[in-house]
Order: sequence, then C-alpha cells, then structure tokens
Amino acid sequence: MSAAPVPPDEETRLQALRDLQLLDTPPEERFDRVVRFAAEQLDVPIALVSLLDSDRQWFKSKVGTEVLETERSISFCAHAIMEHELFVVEDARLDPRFADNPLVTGELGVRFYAGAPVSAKGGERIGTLCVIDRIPRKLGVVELAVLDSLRTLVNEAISGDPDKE
Amino acid sequence: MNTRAPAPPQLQLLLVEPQFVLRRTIVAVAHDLHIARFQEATSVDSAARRLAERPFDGIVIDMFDGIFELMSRLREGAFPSRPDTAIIAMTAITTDEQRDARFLSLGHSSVLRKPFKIAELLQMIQRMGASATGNGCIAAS
Repeated sequence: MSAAPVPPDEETRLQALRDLQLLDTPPEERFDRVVRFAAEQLDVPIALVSLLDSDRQWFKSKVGTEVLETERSISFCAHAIMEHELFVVEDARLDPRFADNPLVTGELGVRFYAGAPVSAKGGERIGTLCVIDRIPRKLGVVELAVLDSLRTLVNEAISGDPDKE
Repeated sequence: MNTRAPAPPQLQLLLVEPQFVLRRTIVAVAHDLHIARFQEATSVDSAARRLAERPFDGIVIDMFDGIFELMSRLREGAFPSRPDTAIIAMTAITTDEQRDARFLSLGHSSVLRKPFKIAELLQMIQRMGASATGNGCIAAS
C-alpha cells in the first residue's frame, strides 16, 4: 500500500481547512443534497464529502456508511487532493497503491473510487467529493462531467456563497 | 486554407426546474459537453419572462402547476420561439397518466420521469437538436 504523499502546501492547506470551521460540525443540507445526488446519479452505494485533516479524513457529509472518519494514511482522498483533476481508481484490488489497503480488504470492501478535490476560496485542496463502489467501475463521459459539476457546488457551499436559487 | 468545419452552434434551451442541484448540474454538464446552453428559470413566472425575451430551440421543464397553460401559450404563438418548439417535461415518479396525456397532446413533446440520469436527458436533448429546424440555430439533419 502506498501512503499518499503530503502536498507541498500542507501547512497552508491545513490552516485554510481550519479557518473554514467545518471539521466536526453537524451535517448540513447544502452538502448533503449534493452527496445524495452524486450517489443517485452515479449509482453508487457510498458518496462522501471528505475533509483531510493532519492525520485523519473526516466526513462532513455521507451517504451509505456510518463511518465518521478514518486515518489519513489509508485515505484514497489523500491521494486525490494531490492534483486538481478527478482521481479515479477503477479497481482498487488491481492497483498496487491500494490493493492491500484496509478500506479495500476490510469490511468496507472498496473496489471503485472517484474523487473530485474540493477547495477553499484560496484554492487549497481541503478534501474531496467522492463516490465509492464495492465493484469495479468505469465512469462514462457524462458521469465524469456530473461529478465535476457537483464538485463546483461543494466548493460554493464551502466558500459560503449564497445559493443562486 | 482552413478546411476545418465550423463547430455546429449549440442548442439554446430554456430549463425550468426549481430544484437547485438538479438544475445547476444539468446546465453545467450540458455546457461542458458542448450539447446545449441553457437559460434558467425556477418558476412559471420566471419561465414566462424568459420565453418573452428571446426564442429557444427547445424547452426542458418540470411539470408543475401552471406549466401546461404556459406551454399552451407557446403553442399558440405567444412567444418569440416557434409554436412547435420541442418540449421535454420532467415529472415526478408518481405517474398521472391523465396529466401526461394532456401534456403530450400539445405535440412535439416528451415526458421524462424523475429521478433520471443526466445522460438520459442529454440524449433526449440531442435528439431534439437533430430535428430542430427553427429559430435559425440548428439545421435539420
């Protein structure tokens, strides 16, 4: 298993995350509605808004799991935040970075992961909107576009932009 | 000499959908995939205002109260859009065959049940575009 590298802007990134005061807060509909929609559109059992703290990933919003947080060392999202682009693992069992990851080999049984990094206003990648399945998957063009679009809505929720409803 | 064919103009559509996440996602994905550009409305009143402003190649609309009357006015030529402008109506999963039939009687219309996959709506929009002949925007296939 490969532990995710630490982003070069880690200190700034962590400060931006803490400034948002989102960690360990109650669920909020502005995030939950996006996560529900992601799960429905992409036909996945699990969808999350995950925030990457110094040594853990904590789930601000979740569908399909009661897990509240995991160690950062086993987090797929920690890999995802290294780049701006969508991070997709079609079959974690075949990926040497994740094949022996407890999230894959254990009860959660992660096989497929797709994460869209989400950012604070300054651009610091603080976590992801991600979808997870227990079977290998390959997302189509439209599904990738949907995930990317939903990432924008999460970014707007993070920045506190008023809903343009 | 530039032999590359110009990109076909995008469909200009009106989307009337009150649900924020669904509306924003449809607009963004259709734009990112170069399928259509949407003007948005969230109510019958705002839809009427949009329709009065400019013509559209098609309309994607949530089937809520008052929308049938608005679409009837469209068919009667009350707006800049062609009277036969294609309409896709999005309806909740609870079926109302009488309402659906009433809507389909408007002609050039189709019904899409919620919840639906965005890809399905985009396919319907692309079929809409393939047959659109009016508003000077899309050539007939």
